[in-house]
Amino acid sequence: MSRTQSPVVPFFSNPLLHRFLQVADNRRLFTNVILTRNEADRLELERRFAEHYFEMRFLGFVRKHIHYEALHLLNKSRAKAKQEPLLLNMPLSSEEAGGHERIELLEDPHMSVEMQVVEESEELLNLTGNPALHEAIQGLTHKQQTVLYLLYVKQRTEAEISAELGVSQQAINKLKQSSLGLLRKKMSRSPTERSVGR
Amino acid sequence: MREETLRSLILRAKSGDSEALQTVIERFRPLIKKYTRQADLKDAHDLEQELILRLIVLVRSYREELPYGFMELVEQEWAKNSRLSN
Repeated sequence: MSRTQSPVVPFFSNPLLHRFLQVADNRRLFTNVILTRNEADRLELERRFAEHYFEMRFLGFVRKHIHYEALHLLNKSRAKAKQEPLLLNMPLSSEEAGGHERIELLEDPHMSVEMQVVEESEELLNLTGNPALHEAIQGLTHKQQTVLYLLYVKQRTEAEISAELGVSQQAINKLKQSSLGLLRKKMSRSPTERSVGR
Repeated sequence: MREETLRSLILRAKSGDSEALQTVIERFRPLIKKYTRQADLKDAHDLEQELILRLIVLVRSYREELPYGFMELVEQEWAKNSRLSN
């Protein structure tokens, strides 16, 4: 490229000129034009400068617009991801899931009334981590279990339960006392006795 | 033969040369990648398409301007410098 390094290295603070004259060929042409006033070289220099000017201006134009467009789109998709994360559409981790998404594992929340009743009656049993207590609760009648469930899991008052079940408050209280008494009795029995008693 | 200048490429692309347009897109792909790397994997492809589309619009809408010739600019700069040194 650079055949004859020109002795004159003109300096221009104008960045457009500065960059243009960094190219050795352009510098050589420029020196020729200044020293010899060669018309052909001047035309070539002008042509090259037009190219250079076009290039710099176009690059600036594209960089600026692509930059703003990209930032705009990136912000938009980030805001969207924050607002409505596609958690349910995340693929399941393991490969054997076969490209299924998490949403496919969700159950229908509208289960039948029967299912709800079963779920609720089981809840009291499932709540205890103590196997002895679990067994003791299983020994209660359905009625006793229901009252304990409503009292201690649902945190209802005796008055509320009596209204709900259509029995007197005294009856509820009696059921509560007898159920707790039974549980206490079963829990205080020694393990051997309990297993014999079954 | 020397490499085709950006100017002639853009001018050809502007006049509807799809091969030239393709070359322009390839030349600007590194710039576009700079941004798509910042996106989530699932959005990166969409973003790339959007930016390429934007680039095409920019190429089509670009108007060449040459406010001054080389020697004109040189003389302007020299005049500025002599004014400063006086």
